[in-house]
Amino acid sequence: MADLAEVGEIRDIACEWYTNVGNMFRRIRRGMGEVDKESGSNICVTDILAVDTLAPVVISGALAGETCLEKAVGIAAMVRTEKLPMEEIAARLRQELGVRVAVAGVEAVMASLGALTTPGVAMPMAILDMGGGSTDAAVLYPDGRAELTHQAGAGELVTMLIEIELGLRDHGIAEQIKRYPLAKVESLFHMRMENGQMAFVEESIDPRFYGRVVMLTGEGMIRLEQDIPMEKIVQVRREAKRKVFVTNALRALKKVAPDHDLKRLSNVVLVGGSAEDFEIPDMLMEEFANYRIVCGRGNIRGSEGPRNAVATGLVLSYIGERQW
Amino acid sequence: MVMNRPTIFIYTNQPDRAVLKEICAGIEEEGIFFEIFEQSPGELNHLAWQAAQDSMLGSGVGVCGMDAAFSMRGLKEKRCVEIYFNPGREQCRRLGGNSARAIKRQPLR
Repeated sequence: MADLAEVGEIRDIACEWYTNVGNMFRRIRRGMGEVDKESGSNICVTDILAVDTLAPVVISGALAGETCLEKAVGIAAMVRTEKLPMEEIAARLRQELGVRVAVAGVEAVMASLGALTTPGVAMPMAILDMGGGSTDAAVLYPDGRAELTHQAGAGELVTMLIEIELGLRDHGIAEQIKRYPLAKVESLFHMRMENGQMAFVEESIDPRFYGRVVMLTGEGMIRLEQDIPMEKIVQVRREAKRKVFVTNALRALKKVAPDHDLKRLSNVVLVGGSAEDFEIPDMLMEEFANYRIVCGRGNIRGSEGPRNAVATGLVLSYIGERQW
Repeated sequence: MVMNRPTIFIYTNQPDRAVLKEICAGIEEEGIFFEIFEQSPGELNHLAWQAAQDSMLGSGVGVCGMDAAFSMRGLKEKRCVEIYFNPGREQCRRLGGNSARAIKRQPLR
């Protein structure tokens, strides 16, 4: 990853054939080729994020399916095709919804336009759009110039790391662990939160949650069936988020910052689904404090929180174009 | 001198022998002691609730004929943790085990 940071713009990444990584890249190209049949061989990998992880491997000859943790590497790749099947999607939407659908805009620029609707935000400003598959960064200047970049790796990679390191074999549970804070129900009237606080309840907790690690969602609790200590889950989850989001945020902002110097950025608006997370913005804030960057969640249109930035940007851009 | 032993109380009212035996076996499997007391006729919920109130460990089981319930101290009388009417062998053993696991702060089965 250090070498990758040194090189300039990447057009394509090729891998040695018949190696683990080589096969993975071949699968990616084949998969994208199926989605976009027109591009054929013009599918390029323009960025990767490699993350060290530990994966449970079944010990050969084990009697009860015992596993041991072995070092592994998780890789996310940013794939570019000549043309995604956007026109097809637009045509289908047009047909099913009966409204005019147009394909327009660059995601990071549209997210920046959307982020500008956050009260108190002014240009020049940087945005960090942390979604499911990629992390986009853009800097918007008052004269209309925009610097932007797309980096591989975001929420989905975090989910995958959690799933693998905890040996869950269930993507849905890994996704829930990523999203919600944990607690351990220690009696029918109190639980220990992951930050050490004790929470007491007036009405007794459902006995099904007794002695279990639970995820605290807005609508109630979800029981974790696997017998994994809460401390371990928290550690794996935080480490996965740090490895992906903090690394990617620094990488992305360095690319778009003036002279690639982070200290020349003064404020960053966080948008996208992962900006809604309960701990990622705090992690980034802590890291950015070293560069004297102020960062905070966007509040699109003053009401939507960090989501809907791209959609809002697209609408603004469309209205702007019509006025010209 | 009156001594309160750290045991799970089982309050019974003309209990079915097989049901009681399996519940006791479930508790024993988890390594907790228990004591059995015959009570005057009453509601199953109340037997379990009263047993939990009186037990030093805060966990009690009520067995009334073929029916069994398990409660913990602090719960309302009508809100037992588990209640079975005419339970099978496995259910009885699980109920006994759970009453012991609750004391050990282990997840219920």
